[in-house]
Amino acid sequence: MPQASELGPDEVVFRLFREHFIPDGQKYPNGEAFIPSSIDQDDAKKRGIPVRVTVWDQALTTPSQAKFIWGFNQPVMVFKIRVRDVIQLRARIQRLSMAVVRDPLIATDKAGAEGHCGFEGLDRNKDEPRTKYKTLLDEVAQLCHESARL
Amino acid sequence: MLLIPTPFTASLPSSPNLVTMLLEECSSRRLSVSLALEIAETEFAWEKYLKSFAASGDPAAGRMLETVRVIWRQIKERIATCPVPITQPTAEGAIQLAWDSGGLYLDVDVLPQGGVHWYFRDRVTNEVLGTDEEPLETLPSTFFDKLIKLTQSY
Repeated sequence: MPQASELGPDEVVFRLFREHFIPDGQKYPNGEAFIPSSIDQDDAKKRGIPVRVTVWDQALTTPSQAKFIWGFNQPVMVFKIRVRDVIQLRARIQRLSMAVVRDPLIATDKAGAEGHCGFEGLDRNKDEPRTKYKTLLDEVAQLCHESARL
Repeated sequence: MLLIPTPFTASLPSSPNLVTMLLEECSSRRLSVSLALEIAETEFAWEKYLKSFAASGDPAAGRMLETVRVIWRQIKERIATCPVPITQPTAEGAIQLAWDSGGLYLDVDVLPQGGVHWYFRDRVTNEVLGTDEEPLETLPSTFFDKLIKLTQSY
């Protein structure tokens, strides 16, 4: 299998989160927004690749395009993450599996599909204590900057 | 606990008796009316959101909601002005309640199979507490201690 291409440090990706109940004054998102879904896990098994959480390259996809491709009807929040911050976090916490890689959607010709990327290294390792895993996710959540609500 | 019944928030403009109740409650707890109204309004919106979990008719959702309400009562007995939490479903089907002041973070996951997981992190000192493998039947006193600390840091 060819090595997935990692995004460069100057690139910026975004992730869409469904809006839930977020009272005024509370900081958001938290790590929950980066836990791979069962769909992410199944996709990885099926394709024989690392588990990837969906993010989008902002240079290739707009948040509206991503929302349309993903079929979200409910309001979503858009959070940006600089790839440089991910690379720095990987080095700091020594989670070498962590990377943002290109993963264009080939099964659709919808505009923006080429900007689909995968955030790897966010699945819980075997025997990894829950508190350690939650801290990892919290570190990732701290890299996010809200940019829009759609 | 701020004892503002839900019907109060639903019928605020035309219920003089309930207004009296609110004023008495504010007086006894030394809360300003505007703060009490703000709390009541947010709690009402939160209650509405919680009910959306039960709309599916899933018995597990009903049980989780009951646990959420028990936890909330326990919290309000200790912290009358505790802000309502960020509330969301988790990947493992739980209902998560979370508070985040920036420097401090605390959450509890109410699990569909019963029991709770909790997690606390002080992002400045990197103190981390919580459950690792087995969920708990009830929340420990440390959870409430950390929530008190967190609410004071907003």
